[in-house]
Parts: sequence; C-alpha cells; structure tokens
Amino acid sequence: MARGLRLGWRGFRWACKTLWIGFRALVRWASCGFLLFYSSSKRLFTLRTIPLIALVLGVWVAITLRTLPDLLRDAPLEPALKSVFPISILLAILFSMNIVPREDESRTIEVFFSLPVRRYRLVIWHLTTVSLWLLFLLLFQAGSLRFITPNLSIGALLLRVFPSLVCVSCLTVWISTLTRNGPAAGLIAALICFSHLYRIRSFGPVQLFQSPFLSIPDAGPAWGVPQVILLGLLCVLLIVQINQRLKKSELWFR
Amino acid sequence: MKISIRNLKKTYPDGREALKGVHLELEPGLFGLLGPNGAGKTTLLSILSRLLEPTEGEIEYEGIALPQQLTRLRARLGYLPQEFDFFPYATGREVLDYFGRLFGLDRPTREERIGFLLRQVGLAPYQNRKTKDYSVGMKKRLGVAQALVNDPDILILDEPTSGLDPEERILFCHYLSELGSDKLVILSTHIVPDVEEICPRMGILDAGRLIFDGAPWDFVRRAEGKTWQVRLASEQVAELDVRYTIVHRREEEAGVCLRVVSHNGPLPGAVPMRPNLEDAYVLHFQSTSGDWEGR
Repeated sequence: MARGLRLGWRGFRWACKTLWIGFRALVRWASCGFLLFYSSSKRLFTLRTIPLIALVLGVWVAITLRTLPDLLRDAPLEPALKSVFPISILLAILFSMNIVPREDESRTIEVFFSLPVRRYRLVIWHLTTVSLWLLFLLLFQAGSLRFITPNLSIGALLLRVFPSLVCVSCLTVWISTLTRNGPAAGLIAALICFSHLYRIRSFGPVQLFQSPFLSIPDAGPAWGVPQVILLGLLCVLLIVQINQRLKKSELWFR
Repeated sequence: MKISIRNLKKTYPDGREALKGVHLELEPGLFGLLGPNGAGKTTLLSILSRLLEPTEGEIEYEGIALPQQLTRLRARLGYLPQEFDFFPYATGREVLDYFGRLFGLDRPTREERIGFLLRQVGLAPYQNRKTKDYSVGMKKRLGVAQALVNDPDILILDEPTSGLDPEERILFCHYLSELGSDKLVILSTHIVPDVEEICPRMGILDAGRLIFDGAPWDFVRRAEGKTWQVRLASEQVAELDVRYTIVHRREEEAGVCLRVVSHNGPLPGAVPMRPNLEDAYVLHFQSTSGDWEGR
C-alpha cells in the first residue's frame, strides 16, 4: 500500500513536471512565434510596400462598390468570389515574391543558413506571416462585401479563397528560388495564376492549365474538404521543392 | 573547441578548384587567415561554418558528431560573412533580439546578452536607431554582436575590419583579442597589420593551398635582410618601382620615403629595416607572382 502510494506520488510529480515543461515550451514557442510574426512583418512590409497594398485595396473597394451591389443582392457568394479572388491572388504574389530574394540581395541569407534552424523553417515562418496577413486582408474584403449584402457567408468565402492564397504564396516563393529575383518571380506567378483563372487554356493546339487546382472555386456546396486537402498537399510538395532548392548552397553563396 | 581539417578540397560546379587539400589543426585562440583575392579564404570559412559542403576531405569538431549533430554545432558557432546587411526598418536591439530568439535563448538570457553585447561593441547609445541609419562601421559592429549573441565557442569572421575607420579598427582589434582568450576565433582579412597585432597564429592561403601555418614572427623572418627604407626625389620613384617592390610610400617635405622589399641587394642610400608581417607577405607574393619576376 505504502509502495503503491509512493509510486503514485512519483508518477504524479513526473506528470506535473512534464506538463510544466510542455507549457513552458508552448509559451516560448508562442512568444517566439509572435516575435517572428512581428519581425517578419517588419521584414516583409517596407514603407514602399504598404502604400502599394493600400492602393490595390482601395482600387478594389472602389470597383466593388460600383459594380457589385446589384449582383450581390440575390446570390452573393459567386460574384463575391469572382471579385475577391483575383485581387487576393495579386496580394498573395506581392507579399511572397520577395521573401527569399530579399534575403539573397541583402546578404542576410548566409547568416540565416548558419543558424541552428533548418532552412525551410525560416521560409515557413515568413509564409505563415504572409498567410496571416492575407487572412486579415481577406476578412477585410469579406467584411466590406458583407456590409453591402448581409446574407453573404464569410466562412464559405474564406474556405474557398484562403487555401488557394496559401498555395499561390508557396508557388511564388518556389518560383523566386529559381529566378532569385522578386519581380521576375511575381511576374511569372501572376502569368501562371491569371492565365489559369481566366481560362486562357489553349495556345494553338496545346491545352494548357487544365489542372483542377487554382480555379475560381465553385460557389456550390460541393466545394470543400477534398479541394482543401488537395491544395494542402500541393503546398507541402512546393515547400519540399523550396527546401531542396535552398539546400543547394553553391547557388546562394558568391 | 578544437577543429581538425584534413585534406580539404572544394571544387565548384563550374570546375573552379577553390581549395586543393588544406590541412589545419585549430585550437582556442585567435587564428588569422591571410591571402590574396581568390585564394579560397571565404570558401574555407563557409565550409567551416557548414554553409558549404567540401568536395573531399574531413573536418572534425571536438565533441560534435556530424552530420547528426549539425544543429548542435551551429548553436555553438557564430558567423559574420564578408558582406552583410540588416533589416532596414528594425533597430539594432530588435535585430539582436530576433537572432537571439532564433538561437532559442530565453528572455532573461537574451536581455542580459543583448545589453552586454551592445555595450561591448559600442552601440548602446544607438540601439534604438533603425539599422538603415547606421554607418558602415556600426553595421560591422552590429554584425559581430549578432555573431556573438549565442556566446559561441567558435567565431568565424570574414573581413570584419574592412570599412572601419582607423579608430574603430583599433577598438575592434582590441575586442577581438579579448575574445580570443577563451574562444576559437578565425579571422579572415586583407589587412595584414590586423593579423600581426592580435593573432598569435596565422595561415596564408594561396590559390587554394595553405602555404604557411604558424606564428607571424616565423613568417616575418623570411623578410629579414630584404627590407629597406630609402628617401628619394619624387621623379626617381618610377625608376625604382621597376626594380623593387614598394611596400609603403610616404610623402615628405624633401621628397618621398619608401619602404621596399626585394631579394636583390640593397640600393645605394637604403637603410636596412626590421621587417614586419606586411613586408614578408608582399615579398612572398612578389616572389611567386610571374608579373613581378626578376625584381
């Protein structure tokens, strides 16, 4: 009986200690994550980028308010998607195209690669920051549309748009590791995404961009978890490719 | 921490052989790495900091098993590349805090370490200024602080004093010599006097090969009896330049004072001088370069 109590007490102390260590690690990760979000934001958004983003959003708001109110009244989701998707893709490309090239050009990439942090994790941190900002801007857009038509489902809008934005960000970063130039990567990513969006599929006899991914999502109820999973897998594949590219050290050091 | 380098070779994908079999044993202290442009200094430092992988050869870090413990090695290593910039809109303190977090330092350690480093490198009064407003020297000092934020056992500095004004350079060298008392500090530089002043041991790389490894004064002995000082009129300098290698030139009221090195005999009126490391370095590369043959 006494031995059982001692063992029980020891087990209880071990469990408390483990929980405490896990809690401290979580707090440290959370604070680290917040600071990385803050620092990543400072790193990603310069004084020149912020006015550009504001201009893009301002143009979107102006066009939306002029053209959409009638369309949004009856079946708001489809016109809302068609309004939000292109501008969000553009912002995702703008936010992501310089993540790696900026480090390369400012020569901070060598220091980052010497840190005890896996290389792809730095990119993931920046991508997470970009995704959070895109979500914030998407909420702004959804809120603006909701202001026009109260029966718009914000959740349905986010589910259809946000996964594609994350995928576009990953695609843009991967392209930037190939071009090593932010504007060039942005241009190529925009060409791919907008060609696909606007169904520029045939180029002579060749049918391009037949992929089911990255189309303007269906407003119907069928669009949901399978598409999100497929986009998630595509993101993972792109991050693996980004990591492979970053591991080729000779490419990055002059 | 000790580092053993054996038969290190590095060939880049374009076929360029940057290192051709380097053997080196490094122990705690200051080690100066000299060499002309393209000698392989940056390549060697990049390999030591595990940014690049060697084509051939082995590097052993005391107490670290690679590649399994690569992260552990990087946690004990501080690196300052030759060219380095910062987040322009972050302050000096924010930059160090960011790197401190990436190294996994907890908040009390970070605060203490950052405060100490900012004082040590003389940036405490400027810690809240954005790095885009920093001078070249201030950025270099912040770079060194960044390399020290994790209190590394190995500190690798690529051209740390380039761009510093003379006063900053002196203070910087003094600080490095203090660091060398308990860390392995590998310092690559073009500035020969920096190595002579603070490094008890040095290596010279030339075309990918380590041609000297030892104390600076051992290398200086090679220039004994081959270093002179001579005073000439300005119009005579061009004639002397053809036959001798001029290490220093100083304009004086009555003409020009030249410090020359040569394997040839002294010229008339020359005063033999006690050589320094720069004399020996110039003499060596004069001897091995075809362009200077016969001087």
